[in-house]
Amino acid sequence: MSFKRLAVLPLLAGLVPALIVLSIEVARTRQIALRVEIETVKILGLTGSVIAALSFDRGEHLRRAWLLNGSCYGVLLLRDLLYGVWLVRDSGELSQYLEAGMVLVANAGAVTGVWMLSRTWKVAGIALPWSPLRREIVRWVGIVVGFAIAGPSLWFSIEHAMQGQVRAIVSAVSSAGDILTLALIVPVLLTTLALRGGLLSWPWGLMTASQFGWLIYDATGTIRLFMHVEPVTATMWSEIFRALACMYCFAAGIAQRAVSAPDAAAAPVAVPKPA
Amino acid sequence: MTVRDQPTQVAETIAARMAVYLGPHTARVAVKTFSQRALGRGPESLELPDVPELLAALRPMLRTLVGHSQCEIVLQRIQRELGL
Repeated sequence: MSFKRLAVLPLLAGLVPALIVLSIEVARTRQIALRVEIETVKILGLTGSVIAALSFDRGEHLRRAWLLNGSCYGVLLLRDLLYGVWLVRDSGELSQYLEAGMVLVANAGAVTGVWMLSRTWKVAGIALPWSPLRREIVRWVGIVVGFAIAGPSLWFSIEHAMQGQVRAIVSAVSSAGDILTLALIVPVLLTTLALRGGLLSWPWGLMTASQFGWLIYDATGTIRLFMHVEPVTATMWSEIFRALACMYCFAAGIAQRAVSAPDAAAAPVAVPKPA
Repeated sequence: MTVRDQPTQVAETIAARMAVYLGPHTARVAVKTFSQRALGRGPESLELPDVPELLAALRPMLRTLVGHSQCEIVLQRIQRELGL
């Protein structure tokens, strides 16, 4: 398996929303094409998570972590399916609360999954790079960046939710989940650095890239709050980074599976001869 | 590191096989950490009779990172490379 090619694949997928927005002029057709693209990358994100989870046996730490991560994609896909073909968001309060509940479940799955990934080094008993002080500083930088990116959106969503807008609850739950997930990027990144030079650095590195994709996806939403950006342009950038996040998750799952293939263990190693 | 502190051939063989997955640095640190934890001494004194106990100590770590099946393949491979 060529891990380098696997790492390039999401970049190509990231071009698709740009091509759709730049080449389709009819708004309705563009909207449909983007919807198909969004659901496709979500399905691939779910597929990658399940493939990675199946590399581990029942009850193993990373199997649960990957399944929880995948549950976010699964629940959001179910939400999209329900509201795409059956329910209408404005059809009543029950329908709106159902969506808020589903987004809450999806975010809880994502946060718990990433939290489990972030503490894998501790469960395994491997050492992270850098001094504890440097790691703590970087961890706090992650938390501050998380708040800076998703905090404004959370603030506005809470304000609107207090005024009785049920849909704002969806946004608030999503933003709170984003802040927690973004704060957990640093330990996942440090685990990747600890594993550099080994096959495991590929799934971990690709998963870190997926989390960075979500970070920038959220940042595009925050920029919209403070700057005037053409809606079509803003949508294009959001969808590019959503595609990258989902596709890097897919690539990470494939890489995890490849690392767990029996022939990976047969790689030749150079052991120094005794003097 | 003095000559006396050099890891033995046994420690190097185990670290080299694990480095395929963990990378060279973490593999070396893992051998050092787990040999101290399981045997009470470092990789500079590891010999063949110590291997089963060290591999038993490494098993939960490897199982967490690569899964049970792959972990057993790696451990068997290490034993084969050490002629056990």
